[in-house]
Amino acid sequence: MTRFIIASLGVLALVYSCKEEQKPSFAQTSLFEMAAPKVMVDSTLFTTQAQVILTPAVTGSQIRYSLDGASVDEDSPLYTGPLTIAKSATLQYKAFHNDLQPSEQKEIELAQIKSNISHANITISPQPKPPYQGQGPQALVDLQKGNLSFRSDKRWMGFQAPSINIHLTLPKKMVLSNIVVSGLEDQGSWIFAPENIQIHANGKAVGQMEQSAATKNGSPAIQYWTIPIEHGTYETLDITLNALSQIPEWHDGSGTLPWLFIDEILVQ
Amino acid sequence: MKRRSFLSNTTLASAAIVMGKPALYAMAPYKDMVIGHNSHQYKIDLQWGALNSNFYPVKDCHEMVQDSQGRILLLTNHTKNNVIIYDKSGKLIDVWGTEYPGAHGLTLNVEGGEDFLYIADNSRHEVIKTTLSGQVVQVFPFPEKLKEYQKKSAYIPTETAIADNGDVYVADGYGSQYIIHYDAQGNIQNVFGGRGDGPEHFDNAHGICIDKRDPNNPTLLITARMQNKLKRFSLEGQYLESYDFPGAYICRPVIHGNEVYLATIWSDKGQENSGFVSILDKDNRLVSAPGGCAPIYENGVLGHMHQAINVFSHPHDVCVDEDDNLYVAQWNSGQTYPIKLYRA
Repeated sequence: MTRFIIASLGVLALVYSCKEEQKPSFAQTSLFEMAAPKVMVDSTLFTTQAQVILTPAVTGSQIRYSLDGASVDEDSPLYTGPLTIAKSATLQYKAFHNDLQPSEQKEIELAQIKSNISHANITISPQPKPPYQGQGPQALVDLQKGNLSFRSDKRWMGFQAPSINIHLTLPKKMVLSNIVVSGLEDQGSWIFAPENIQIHANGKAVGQMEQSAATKNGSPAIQYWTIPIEHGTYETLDITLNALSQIPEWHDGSGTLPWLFIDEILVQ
Repeated sequence: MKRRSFLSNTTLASAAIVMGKPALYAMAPYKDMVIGHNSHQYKIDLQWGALNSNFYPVKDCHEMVQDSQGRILLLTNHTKNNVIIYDKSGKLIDVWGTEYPGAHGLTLNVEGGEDFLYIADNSRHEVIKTTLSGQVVQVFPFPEKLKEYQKKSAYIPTETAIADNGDVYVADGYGSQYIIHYDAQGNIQNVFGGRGDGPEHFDNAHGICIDKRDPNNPTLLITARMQNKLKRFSLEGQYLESYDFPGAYICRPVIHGNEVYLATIWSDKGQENSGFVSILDKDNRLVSAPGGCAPIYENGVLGHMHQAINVFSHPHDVCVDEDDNLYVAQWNSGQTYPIKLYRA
């Protein structure tokens, strides 16, 4: 009897081992995540309104969204057509499907601009590093935002320098309390937020922002770094962005100087 | 998709098999993922070729070829085992290679009945020809005599293609974008391509192959990855034509039958983890994009390509076997092993 059992087990093992070699186990639909919907915005910085169009990556999926900061789930509003945005908001969106895992939740910042400084005079030093030269200093105040695809989007200025100095002469005297520098964070591509941003006016420090230690954060994002300054009237500003002295230890690029990407400066 | 979560999932499935197979079927409707379009659709084996990374680690899985014995060879830039040899089921046969820190391009050529490998090494700035077992037979060093090159660091070869007469074409895809044409002895015959805005120029001349689909008129197909283009040149280095694949960052052309297969490392606007596989028909039109959106041509122009389902992170090469199944090697994808696609 024992011999019979051992023999049967042997046969079974043989059958299964042969089977395993010939028949791979195919991955099921439920293992895979959909790509996030595509987003098209006429202008992420706008004076009156912006229009947003979302397109699903997979047909048969549903896109849901939120504008109030709540994370998107299956009960969030369903996207049925172009959205018109009339005040500053963060649009978050995500796709759902019966068979597949929902997409990653994506977001896009839409900002209403009240102070136009597109006639400001700007000088930058050092110059951005090729191939990420942007479109000249004036493009930093043109209200045109770059997108996450910094490789193809020519609006980004990329720097690999310990600090970047931007001298801004406003078109006229303005009463200000905030400076916003918009940049890109894409740690997978070795692009990090600055360690701090300092603002001087006529040689006097008027405001600064410190970043908390660069921690690992997943997907690339467009950032708006807001630096509060002493409320007052300004005509010239010196903005200094100090890069991280080196890429943190947890990253593949540990020890080297990170990239710093910016594309727009706003005043409030 | 993370391999780790998949593995824990299969552990559960295996437990269910031990307890009784029918229960598994009753528990969850089993729906195989099928990717790709039209004539070229595939099921996915995520476990193919997975090895114990303590013994057989990989870094980037750069390229794969099939040898004359039907074995599948993987080139990785991990210097513990630069070449990993599998059978088609993914079982390990052999490993070799510790001296290719920048192992990137892998081309197999049959010469006098014997298989030879051409390894383009980014870090060594040269191409090394070896036997199937790893014995070095020839080195194509940094072409220091060429006026196009002032310093070694400007030459970062990514791929080779070998013509029937033994001539070797090296694509300097991460360096100065030239294609360097050697005879079989390693004498430079010609240099073409380079950076620039002309149609004959390249931005990331990443992959190269000889297109012998028209047997009377062999030509070169070369990817211009950052330009989302595949460019055709004569064997003499004359530019002939380009094919546009908007949004598809194609790595190297691999010809199998009438089709061209190209791992597509990024898509859309070049964002991370957005890769898929591109398959061109005999007319060099994108016919299927496993993992990507459906290819749609309007007035002869391909619509903008993007990822649809996140099966792949950064596909870097595709190997096609005689059963038309695909092996996809990936760059910068969590040190995972290749993924096999079975033609559905």
